[in-house]
Amino acid sequence: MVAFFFPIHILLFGILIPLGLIAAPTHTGMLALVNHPLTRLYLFGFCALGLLHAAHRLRFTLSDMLRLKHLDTLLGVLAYGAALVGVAVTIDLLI
Amino acid sequence: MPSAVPRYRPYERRMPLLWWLQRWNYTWFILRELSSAFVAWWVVVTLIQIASILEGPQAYAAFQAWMAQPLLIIVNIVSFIFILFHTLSWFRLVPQAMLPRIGGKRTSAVMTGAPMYVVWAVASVVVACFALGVF
Amino acid sequence: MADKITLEVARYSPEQDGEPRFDRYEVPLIENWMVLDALNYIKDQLDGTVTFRWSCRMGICGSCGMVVNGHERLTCETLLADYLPGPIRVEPLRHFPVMRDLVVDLSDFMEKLERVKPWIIRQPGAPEPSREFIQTPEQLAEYKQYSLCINCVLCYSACPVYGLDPHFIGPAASALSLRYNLDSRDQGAEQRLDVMAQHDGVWDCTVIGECSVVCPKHVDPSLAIQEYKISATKAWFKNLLMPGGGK
Repeated sequence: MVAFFFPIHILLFGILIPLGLIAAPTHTGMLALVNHPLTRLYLFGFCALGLLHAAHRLRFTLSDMLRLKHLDTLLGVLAYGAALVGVAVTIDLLI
Repeated sequence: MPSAVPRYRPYERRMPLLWWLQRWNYTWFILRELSSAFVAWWVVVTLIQIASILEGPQAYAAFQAWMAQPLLIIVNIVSFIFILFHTLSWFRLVPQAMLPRIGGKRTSAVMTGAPMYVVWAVASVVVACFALGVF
Repeated sequence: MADKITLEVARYSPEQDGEPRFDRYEVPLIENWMVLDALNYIKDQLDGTVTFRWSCRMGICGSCGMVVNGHERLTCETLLADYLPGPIRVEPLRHFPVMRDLVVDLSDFMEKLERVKPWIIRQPGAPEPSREFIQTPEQLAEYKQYSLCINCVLCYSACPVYGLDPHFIGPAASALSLRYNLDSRDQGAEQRLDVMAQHDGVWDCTVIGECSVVCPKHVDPSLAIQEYKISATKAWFKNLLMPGGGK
């Protein structure tokens, strides 16, 4: 999911539009888009899944890189906790 | 079955702290996993983007200006490169993690890999069309 | 071609040394000699105390696995001339305790191997077969690749996950476990799943893939582990939706 959708978001909103290579969408257009229930669903999935995916992978990577196997539970709590905070923010925004 | 009982203490080696720098394959693996950090970064950006759209035209304009700053552009270009790496390494991994098989018959790794690129292209075009107001 | 090459051999003597060291030996560079031949030359002619395992010297017994210039190799298959001008660093397999010189304690692997029950399991109480089990070439092809494992444990030496956490069941045990699941004569997949589906079973694997890179018999244990993850997930869902029923 992340693999399919994140690249185009970053390309568009992170690079092409800020650099002026593509005309920026108007506020009214974006507002209409964001207000649509399907977009909200998509954005919720985009953010929530992205956060959980990142938390899951980073938790194990940090544990491997720094040899923190014994702190496994703590890292899990920190990683998923941070992700859940992000998900809560997402819900708060979108609903 | 009795386990081997050495009469003298065997020497236990610890993995070096920078074990992942010892081999390119290990370093590549760590980079692949760290690319997830940029996923998290981009979710944060997206949340800020949504918030600014919902707040109103001024907030949205402020967000646009913030994104156009040189530092942000550089960070996002780096993010894009890492996300591309994330996606391409995932696409490369999936056929390697499955027996290439369609309907019970063995096929090649290309057949299991190709559909993902197609879906990726279609998804990207669809998102771009929605975002740029084509629909 | 040069006529000599130097080997730096890891030495550890549990009676004397606190830590391992490296001893340098100069050996003749004879065409087609493998690192194993050089080690035997050292033991015969230069230093009889050097200790290492070997047996078949043709890449099938799995005894002579070591780390040569930082990479896992079967020393009977590793040409000296490939490392010119040298020196060649020979170390014991990683992630196992060193007993002496190049010999490591493999009891952890042996325990894991036994735990996955690498033999044909038949359901108890089934009638005695009246003839041998027939297996078609297609059925053989299902598991043959995984049956090629020679237990050389180069894969455990290469796997950082195992190095960081020795509880991980590991590549070779997983490949052999799957080999029997896929064998048409076997009925023990459920029993093995109990071992493999634990969190220190296949789920510890983060798909680095180095195990399959170093495997001298091209078993591809990484593929075995990923396949196992898929079948473990399917079994979990099946259990969820049909607890106690369904086979």
